[in-house]
Amino acid sequence: MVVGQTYPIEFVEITNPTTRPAAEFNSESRRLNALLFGRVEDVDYRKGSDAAARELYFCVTGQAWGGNRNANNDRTMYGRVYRLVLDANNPLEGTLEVIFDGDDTNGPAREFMNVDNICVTENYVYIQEDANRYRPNSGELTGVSTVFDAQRQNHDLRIYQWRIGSPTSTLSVFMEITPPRDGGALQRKYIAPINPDGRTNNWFVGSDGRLAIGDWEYGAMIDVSNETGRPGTFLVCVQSHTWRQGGQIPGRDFRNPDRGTLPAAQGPTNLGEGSYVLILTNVPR
Amino acid sequence: MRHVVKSVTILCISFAPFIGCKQQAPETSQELAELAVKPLFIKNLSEFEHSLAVLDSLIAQAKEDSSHAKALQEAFKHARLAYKRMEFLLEYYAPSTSEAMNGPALEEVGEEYKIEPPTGFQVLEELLFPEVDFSSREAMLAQVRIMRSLCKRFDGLVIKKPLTDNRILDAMRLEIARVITLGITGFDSPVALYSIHEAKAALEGLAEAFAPYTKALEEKNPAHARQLDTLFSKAIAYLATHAHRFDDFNRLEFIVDFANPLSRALFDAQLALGIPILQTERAFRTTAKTLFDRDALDPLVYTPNYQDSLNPKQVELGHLLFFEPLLSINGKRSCASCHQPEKAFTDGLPRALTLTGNDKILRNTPTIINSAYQASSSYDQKTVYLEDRVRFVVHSPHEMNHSLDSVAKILAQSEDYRMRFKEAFGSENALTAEHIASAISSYMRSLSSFNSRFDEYMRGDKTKMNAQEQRGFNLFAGKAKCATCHFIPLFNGTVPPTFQETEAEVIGVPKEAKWKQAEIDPDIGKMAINGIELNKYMFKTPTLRNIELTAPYMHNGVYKTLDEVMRFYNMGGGKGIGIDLANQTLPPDTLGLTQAEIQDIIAFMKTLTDTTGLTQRPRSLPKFSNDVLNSRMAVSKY
Repeated sequence: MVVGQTYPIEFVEITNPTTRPAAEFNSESRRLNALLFGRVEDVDYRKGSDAAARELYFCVTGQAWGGNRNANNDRTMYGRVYRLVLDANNPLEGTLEVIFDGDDTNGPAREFMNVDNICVTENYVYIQEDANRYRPNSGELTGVSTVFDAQRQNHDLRIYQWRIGSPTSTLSVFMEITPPRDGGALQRKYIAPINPDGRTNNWFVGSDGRLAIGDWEYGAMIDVSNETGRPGTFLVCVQSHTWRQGGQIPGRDFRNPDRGTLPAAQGPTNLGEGSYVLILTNVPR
Repeated sequence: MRHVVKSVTILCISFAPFIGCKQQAPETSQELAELAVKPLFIKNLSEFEHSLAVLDSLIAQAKEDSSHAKALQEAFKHARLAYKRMEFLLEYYAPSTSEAMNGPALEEVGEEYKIEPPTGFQVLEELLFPEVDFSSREAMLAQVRIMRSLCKRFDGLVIKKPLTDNRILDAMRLEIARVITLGITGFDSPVALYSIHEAKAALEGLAEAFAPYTKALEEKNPAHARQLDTLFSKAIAYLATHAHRFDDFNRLEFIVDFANPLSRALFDAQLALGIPILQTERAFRTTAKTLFDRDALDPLVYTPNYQDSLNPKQVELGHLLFFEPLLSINGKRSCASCHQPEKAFTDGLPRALTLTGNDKILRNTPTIINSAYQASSSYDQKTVYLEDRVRFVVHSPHEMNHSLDSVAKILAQSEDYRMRFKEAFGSENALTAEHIASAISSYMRSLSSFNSRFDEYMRGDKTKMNAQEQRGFNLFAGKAKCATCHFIPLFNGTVPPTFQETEAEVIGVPKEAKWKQAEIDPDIGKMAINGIELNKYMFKTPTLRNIELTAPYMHNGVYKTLDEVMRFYNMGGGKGIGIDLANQTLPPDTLGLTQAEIQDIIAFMKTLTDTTGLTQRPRSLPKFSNDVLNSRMAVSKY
């Protein structure tokens, strides 16, 4: 799909969805020729009116090329933002358009690092990045030149802002979260040199002993203007992946904080990370 | 407007954007699956949760002495049996949670290259067996509590889900395949080796869940109902009688005489009951009666796009392209130069020469027979689809040093090729880079066969393997642990019975065939692709089918004979010959195989030879009007 061009789409039914295990959804989407995306992560609709709410935006995070599901490089690597506009008379039809393409090295989204969550207001789209850990592929081994671009990866994770309807070139960096790297107390707090399992936490720390670029990511950004009665108030979750200390149980940090009493929503319960929620004010809506 | 927004949100949560799902009333409220199987599951789940609670408090309170150690081990085994009773349902409806509950005790590299620690039974097992490690009490507790919390997921994934008869019966046949491939081989009980007891519990779980169907079957076909009853009780009795000795368990006899007949009878019972066979695209076809049916496995699930069958015109075209030297920049090498049909599509070399002949390429040439049945290809798993594999080989400076786009332009000079592409792909101007890769991949997928002597034995022809070969299989799938990586029936790393993942291992292959103070081969394998230390020296598990024809062995061709290969494994891989890798995934212990046992295993592996009907070369290649191109070497030379 080409940026800026709209494509007609339709929704096709999968029958009896409640009785099917997940694997059948996969095979049914293949059989029905569904569009395949490299990790659809988050969706939001435009606020303000019924017509606006038919305008949906979603992020496709992207997958590293080589050695995983995007092996043939037919999906996005750095991420894309799509706009889906549903037909006013038939919500099962509409048009789809790529707004931003992180893989286009000349485009306004060329510095995208795996856009992940998305927040849409009346007039703005806020796009949040995810940590990726792409590594250069060896051209020698793979037989083709690398598509990894270290320069584009060289920033801490951002939230981008775009005013709906303005040229895509006006995409701007709204915020960037920079973990402490000065070797001081904050760094010691937020970057655990030792994992809870006792191994050196070299994954997050570069060879210079500093926290690697882009290792903290955003969870979600939501508009709480109505709830707080203060227009322009938003919450932003920060997943500070390196924060392993300061939990309630000495020596155990954040690991398995519920002691197994709550259902594990996804993955193992002992991720062991701390995280925090920021309150932003005066955010343009 | 709000309802529109809601329906789209549902779509995205189901991970199927652009696929609508109209909510329909479950058509299943009257099915036995809901009325009888689900209540049974709820009861079994609560017993399992209770067994974990018992284990939890025992771990927390156990004194550090042998009687408490014994009690801990028994409580663990008890929980295992409770789990196995409902494994068929959990694996079917909650595969990720099952993996967290009972996956291998090895760290894995996840989607974003995050290292994911293992959880569940097998982590706990390593702390409890062979001796209880009381110093790890906290770690044990953490695992039990993770498992207890995982149980809560089954509420949404199974209990709230409307169960259907066709899926319950499908899940039962999958479980029989799981018992055969991952159960009795010791795959998921690697230290305690409690596998045969657990297989018995799994079958008891099936027998219990099938009981409501037996009643229905009695009304339609009493003889069939009695036959199933007998098959269940005989299989369970066989496991009970032979449960005490893991090494000596006669796996062949169990599979051929008990497990396969049971699987067939379940399939026939489903038809007799008028319960439709589930229609879904899956590697282990829902229409297969057993895992060893000739057409049990569908190679087309591993394609980039949905296809319901191989297109014979594309296969035929791919066959020509496979032997086409114009795929290489100097016009002197075709795919078949290294993948020679007579050697099961290998070349007999440790490593093939580069295109210029000045050097060797990185790794040993693998067979391509049954290469379709893999979730990733190449030793370092850098590609998922065969189509990409073709592209890599053509583009590799050392192999073909060409590009598919350029090849397409050259081939387009031939009227014959243009016509063949048009016929195969049904459009004008079909001669494209993508279609070249598609056609060759289709040909590779057509090189699929399950007609070895082993396969025929598994289908019931007991004349096909002699006593030594039979002993060899039982060792292969038991004491020698081969089948815990080279999984039955593909004998590659694609994990049954879902066949969705293809595994890679670190085994410590040496640079030279030395038996002590050996040096690791410097090729870092998967790590060269993803940069992850955990994957250093890691390579995809290759198939053992046709191994008799594919010497020399290992990714670097270091071993000339199967005797050498077996010697390496018997010593515990790299660890046993002086290569000390922190991340070796192969258990480093000696297997304790005698010379006679090694010969038995080798004899068994030779029953996997099966190239009949796969090795034809094309009679001639398509013509060009250009004399230079037309005078390219005859196909027999490549």
